[in-house]
Amino acid sequence: MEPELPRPEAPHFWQAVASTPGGESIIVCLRCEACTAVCPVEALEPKFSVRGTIARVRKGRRAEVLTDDALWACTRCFACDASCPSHARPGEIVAALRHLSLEAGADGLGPRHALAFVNGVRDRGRIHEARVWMESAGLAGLFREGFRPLEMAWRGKGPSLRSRPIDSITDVRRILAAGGPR
Amino acid sequence: MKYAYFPGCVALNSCRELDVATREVAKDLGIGLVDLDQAACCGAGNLQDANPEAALAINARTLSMAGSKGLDVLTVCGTCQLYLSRAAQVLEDPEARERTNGILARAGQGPYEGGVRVKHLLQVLLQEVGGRKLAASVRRPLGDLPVGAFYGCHLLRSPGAESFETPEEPTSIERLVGILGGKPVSFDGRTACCGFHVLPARQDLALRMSAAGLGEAQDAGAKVLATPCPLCHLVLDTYQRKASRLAGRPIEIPILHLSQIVGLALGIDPDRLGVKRHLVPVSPVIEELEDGEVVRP
Repeated sequence: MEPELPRPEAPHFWQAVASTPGGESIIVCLRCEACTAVCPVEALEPKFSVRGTIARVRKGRRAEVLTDDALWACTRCFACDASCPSHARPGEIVAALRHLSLEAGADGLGPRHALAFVNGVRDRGRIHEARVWMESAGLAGLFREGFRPLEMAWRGKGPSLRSRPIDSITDVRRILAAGGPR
Repeated sequence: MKYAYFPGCVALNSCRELDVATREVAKDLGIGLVDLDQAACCGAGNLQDANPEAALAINARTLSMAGSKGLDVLTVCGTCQLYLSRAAQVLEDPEARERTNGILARAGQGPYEGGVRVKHLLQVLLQEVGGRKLAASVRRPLGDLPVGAFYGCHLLRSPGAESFETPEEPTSIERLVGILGGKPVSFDGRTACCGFHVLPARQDLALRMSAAGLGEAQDAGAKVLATPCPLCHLVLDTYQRKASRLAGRPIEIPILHLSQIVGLALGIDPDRLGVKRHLVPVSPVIEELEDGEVVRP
């Protein structure tokens, strides 16, 4: 009997990525590592690899990619996009993966922050930083900050007490509803 | 010279001094600012991650607000500049515009007709105001103060940045500092990433990144950094002490917003530029400027 080769869990996953806004350029990525050479996160965090992530997409490892915390360690600096010799947009591909990961219901600090941010836009039109921070990081996050928030408030960098939603907030909410599920 | 002014969320929130300083500088240089007071957030990548179509439509709405006044958009934030100018670029494609206008129509709103340009204050200062007028407006030259630039990634990666900058080897802030009568200090970390966008998920990475950039600036002899992005400012200023502890080396370097350093050179009262709002004291910079002061009438 022939040994069974490991079968990719989602062989067509790369096509789903290619048809997600931003993910289109996955078809031209040659996995050459030019992105790795310029990525400021890869220099510090061995678990993060743009090239490796794209390779796993190609291998159909959907669940592994979409639940990987490393997607949220990307700083969105787009140094990779600027340096790609085959004109792929690795940073945009990672953004498309974050989108798919949110669609799949990912949890963790990164997804929670992104969703709190969207709630912030829906609630007020503009971001109220302290509210978004509290919604995503909670009290534990506040304690980790030590005296910094107090110092900011003392210097006049605290949350504005007069901040209100923009007058045309209903327009923004309608666009968010018309644009997609989230 | 008149622009639809998009300060962005942070300049209206924790970096209010940036908005204040920008208005002072614009008034001084005769740049008219028409407030886009009903514009929503640019999305900053988060909204784009969660709901890319809506993010594009919200930015189309902002561009359309400027377009209806016959104005281009002025930003003072690297991230706002990136996401708004990308939206403007994408929406020049008729097909993409039609799709996005479809979302706007479903939301009961008018279409975006295209054609609005998005410019950061740095570009407007260098290209529209111009070096000659700027130099003639300087009343308190920066003199011997060694000023380093911290560009931030998003401004350099914005579509259109190459019209006033070489994104790989940027020089625009150094050129500006020269025009303001100052001494620019060059260092590799000027194009480093501050790590802002990874703060919520990985504060450790953000702090290590900003500590590296700050350390290089300090080693190169910069006594102050000027940044065109309030998000970089938040990390470099409000997290500086934490970053210094993490890097295990003393770092103390005041960070000025681009509008503030221009305002100082224009002779505007530092208090009116909001320099007391920073966590890293700016007073040594002000003292040095006042010591060597050659106030021009």
